[in-house]
Amino acid sequence: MTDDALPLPLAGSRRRSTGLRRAGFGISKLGVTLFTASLAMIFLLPLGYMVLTSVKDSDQILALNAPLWPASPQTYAAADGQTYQLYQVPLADGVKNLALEKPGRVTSTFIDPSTGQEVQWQGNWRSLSPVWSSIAPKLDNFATVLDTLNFPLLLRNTLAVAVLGTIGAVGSAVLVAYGFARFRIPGKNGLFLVLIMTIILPFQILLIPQYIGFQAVGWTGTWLPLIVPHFFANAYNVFLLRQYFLTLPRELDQAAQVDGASPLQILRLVIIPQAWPAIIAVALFHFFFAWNEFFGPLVYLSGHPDLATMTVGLQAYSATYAGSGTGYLTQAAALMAMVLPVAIFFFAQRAFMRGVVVSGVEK
Amino acid sequence: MATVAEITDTSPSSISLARRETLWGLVFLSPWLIGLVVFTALPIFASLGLSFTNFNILRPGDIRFIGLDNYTRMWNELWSNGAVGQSIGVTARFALMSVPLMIGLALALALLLNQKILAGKAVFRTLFFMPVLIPLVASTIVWQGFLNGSTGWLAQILRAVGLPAPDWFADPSWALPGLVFLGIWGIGNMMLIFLAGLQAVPTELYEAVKVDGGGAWARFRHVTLPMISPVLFYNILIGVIAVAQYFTQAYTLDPTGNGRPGGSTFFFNLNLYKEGWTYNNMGYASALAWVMMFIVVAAALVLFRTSARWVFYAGSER
Amino acid sequence: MGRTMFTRLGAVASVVALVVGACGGAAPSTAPTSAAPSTAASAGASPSPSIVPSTAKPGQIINIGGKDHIVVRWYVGLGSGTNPQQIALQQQVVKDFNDQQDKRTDGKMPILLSLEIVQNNTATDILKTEIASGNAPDLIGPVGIKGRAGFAGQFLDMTPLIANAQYDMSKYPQKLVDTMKDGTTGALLGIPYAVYPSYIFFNKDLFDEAGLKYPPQKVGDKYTMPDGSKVDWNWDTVRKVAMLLSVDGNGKDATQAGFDPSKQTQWGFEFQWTEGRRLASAFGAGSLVGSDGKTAQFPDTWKSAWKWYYDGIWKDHFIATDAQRNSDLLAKGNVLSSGHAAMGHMFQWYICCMSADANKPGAFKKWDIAVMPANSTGTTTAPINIDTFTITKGSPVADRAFEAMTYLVGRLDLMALYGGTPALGDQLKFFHDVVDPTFAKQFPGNKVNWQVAIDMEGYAESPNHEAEMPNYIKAQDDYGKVFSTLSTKQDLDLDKTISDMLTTLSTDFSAVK
Repeated sequence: MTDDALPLPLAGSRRRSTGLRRAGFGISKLGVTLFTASLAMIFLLPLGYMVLTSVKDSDQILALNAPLWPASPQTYAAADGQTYQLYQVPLADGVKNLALEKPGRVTSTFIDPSTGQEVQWQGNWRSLSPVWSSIAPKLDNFATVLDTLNFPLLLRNTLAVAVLGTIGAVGSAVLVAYGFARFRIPGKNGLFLVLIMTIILPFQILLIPQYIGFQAVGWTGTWLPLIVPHFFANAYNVFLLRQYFLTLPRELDQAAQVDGASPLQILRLVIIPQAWPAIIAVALFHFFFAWNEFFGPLVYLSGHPDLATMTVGLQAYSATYAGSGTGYLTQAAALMAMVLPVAIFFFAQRAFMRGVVVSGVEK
Repeated sequence: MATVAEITDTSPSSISLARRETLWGLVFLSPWLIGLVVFTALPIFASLGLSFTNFNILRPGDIRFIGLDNYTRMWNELWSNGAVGQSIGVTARFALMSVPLMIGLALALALLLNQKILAGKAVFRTLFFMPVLIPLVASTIVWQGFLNGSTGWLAQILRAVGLPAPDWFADPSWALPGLVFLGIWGIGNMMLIFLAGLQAVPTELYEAVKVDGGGAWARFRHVTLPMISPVLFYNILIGVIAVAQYFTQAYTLDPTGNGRPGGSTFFFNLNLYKEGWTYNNMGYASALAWVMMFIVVAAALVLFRTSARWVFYAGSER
Repeated sequence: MGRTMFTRLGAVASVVALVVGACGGAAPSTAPTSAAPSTAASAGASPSPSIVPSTAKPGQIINIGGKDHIVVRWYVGLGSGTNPQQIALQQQVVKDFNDQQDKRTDGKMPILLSLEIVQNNTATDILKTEIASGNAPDLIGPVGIKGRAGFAGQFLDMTPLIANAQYDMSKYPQKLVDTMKDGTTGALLGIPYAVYPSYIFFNKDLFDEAGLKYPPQKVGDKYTMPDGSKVDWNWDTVRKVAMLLSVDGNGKDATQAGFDPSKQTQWGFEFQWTEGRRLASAFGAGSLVGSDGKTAQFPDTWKSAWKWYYDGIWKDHFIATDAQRNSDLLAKGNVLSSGHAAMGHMFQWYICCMSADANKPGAFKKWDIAVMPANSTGTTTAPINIDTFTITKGSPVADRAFEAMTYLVGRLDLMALYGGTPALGDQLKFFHDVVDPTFAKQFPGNKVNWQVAIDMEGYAESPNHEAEMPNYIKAQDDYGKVFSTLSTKQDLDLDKTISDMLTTLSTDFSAVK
């Protein structure tokens, strides 16, 4: 267990060797982990709301006094073929689960499921607790989403657009960032400012000229406007990689240069191996950007449901269901669309573990 | 900064060497330069040109050069309590509330999730990043439900502990703080960038501080902060640009684009969108965009200027 | 066709050249060259006759199965037509139409109808992008007055097409035809297609629970109050009944002492998905535009309508506040379907979104519709929406688009899914044959008295609540902003709010050249 001190007071000051300190280390490890876990719980409360909503149905969402967890109201099927909800009714001989047949402001009529007899009850039925089942997630919601959305098609389209775009975005950004970080070019600062300027104008302004351009070359109605421009370096990625490259000391570059390496070799053998965390970050950002991009696919693929990407499919979904009392389906759909990106992130974040860096730069 | 490796220097080079370097540099920049000419320059210059016209998207044929009229109108609206002044106010308030908070929290989170002694790092990092993976429209809808003043979880929690529960997105004074929460929920990207930055900090430097008898704070102040200052700089600038372009969340809250409740979420870009797309005044909207461009570039220049003082580039030329 | 696009591209390009030139730089021709569309990217798209790329040029001729077809593009999204069932049926209708065209023998080139569906909340932007780029569709609809207003000047006057096709317009009531006209030019933009009357929805379960009598289903019928007195069915009566139907968690209604609005669980009334003029017109027809066409006005009936609404929310608590309306309990705004609202102003199109399912234990089982209440002067008004199909001005195949439209208008199954009622023909039969079956599963055994809807068409307001006004979109926005504060802001000085609004509106109206 190496002890590389980390810059957070939380880590405390730790020393190796004695068993006592080892125990202290174990406690602080537990403490930090518990602290992080409780932080994560607070942070993810809205996600919890989203997940729980996605496995409920309107019966529960619209009900009064419903439990937080997904459950079903308990019902009683009466002889007349109707089903009635069960409530916990306080009677003279204790609380009983009765089916509410005719609610009323002063007197309500219940049916006793054990006898099938009607019971008149005086009081406010709204104050009674309904009887709910134990946890019963409505996993059908996901099946419903699968039925209405062409998930395999959307997945295929989105993956194609995202993967192709990511290859182009990462490759081009590495080259351009290297150019900005390591070479003396007259007017470089001005060019860099231009680079930043290209991401400041909002898309709402650029859309029509861009559309006219893509329309003129016949690219509307294809994936090309969503993929090809990314092969020409996006400013966000270039900027990030440039910043990162600039944190890498030059000694290694220079050593390689002295050994006769070409700039391309230096990039490949010296810079890239040191910059994996940033490169992975850029790749993830672009992939997730493409995954969640909405307006581009919407505009350029309008009228081509066969080419549509995930968010366009999701939007059609949420526009229909969000305000119609079945918003839980929208949440279910959004969660399903998240599964693959979450998995990708989980595996990719290994790149941010310490030790990837070639850190041999001694003074 | 005593512990940071001394800044390297390049040896003086001959003219032909400098030329070769420029040439190589341009080769590496070429993908971007080509893309700039082919894809980016035309729309950008078109928008600048259009800002001096009365361009109406439904009547492109009636386009006329009107000089600075759009800019004059904007100037007047800035002072007459019109849409421009209102939207700049909302945007500035939001920027002041959210950018420092998001950057501070993202950095703190990155430091926490980079702790050696934290168990289950992979899981925690994924959990904190997850909200970024929900499409913005969907996450805005989730927060609308979560913050709802009558059935939202937060309101229920607050009421359970005896606190008053605001109506958040239905209350003009609480809507913007609500959006700040929503923004904090999406700090995963910033956190990831900080995490990447932390990987480039040579461990030897920490040892050096320790040898000098420095504690955790000294390590953070004299090693971590300078070493990640380039990515911190990136996050600040990108954070500012993101606020300038803030749109989707506010638009989802009020699809009429009026920034309800009571205009409290009427961001600059919402005004721009309304002008360009709802009222069809794309000429005026372009002028708005260029003024925003001007403001952000000015902010960027200030940041760049001050950066010489606080951003440390281990691999810089000088 | 291609020409208009190039003029537009030219307009933008010349501006660019101007700017670049002014900057003193060499002005290279930066227009992207060649770059043929890659087939790889669209490899997944199998050419199917019913889905023709939206990039197909209007009027383009496409050869399918050795036969030339002329493309007509149909754009859906400005109004009804974007929910999954509607999408599926529209695709089927297009397929049916194209199959029928394939078999035509009159020697005319068959039409290939291509469908572009865009969700309502983005449909306007996409259509504007297409129009601005010279890539406009030919046929647009169904669309109402408000949807058309955003595209003023973009639609073709159908009069010559109607004359050409010898289409019989005399069968339509003049009142309906008038709503199809452009407010400024008088051009006829469409033929009346779907009519959506409005009326009062009421939740029978909640009336039963409260022991209240149902609202009247004939204009002029009295309402019987709990004390047995018979009163006129007017907005004041609605207020009183609605308060009895507004209940908190303790079971107290809004008329009782100790009623706790912060714990409210049921509301007496809701204007389902309304807006300022729509709500006001339920109290009487009116207009925001004064007789000079420039000064804004607010009729007294409208003022009383807004006041009724405002007090209903904040004073009498029988209408939900904005926060309550968007809560999970009230189905995030789909209030009437939540089962927690007893009455509501509902348009026929709302049947699209009646999501309650009586088969579920918690849902309400029975509902019906009642007539609109009268205002203080005894007048009954029922706002109405009317949809149509329009043809874009630049369409090179306007006559063929008209031909396709006459087919679409004839498909009653489509009309039923749109939630409309046909402007012509036996409406009651339509309700019984087409609308009732769609509800049979959802609300078994529930019978809706559709005669009320038909009767309400006779009380349609004139001018229409969506009627033309100068600077339409801006003005609509400006009163919309004020209207939305009614449900979010307590302690509003309503008179001052309205007079401030009129100042803004007058500016909007006179800003028109």
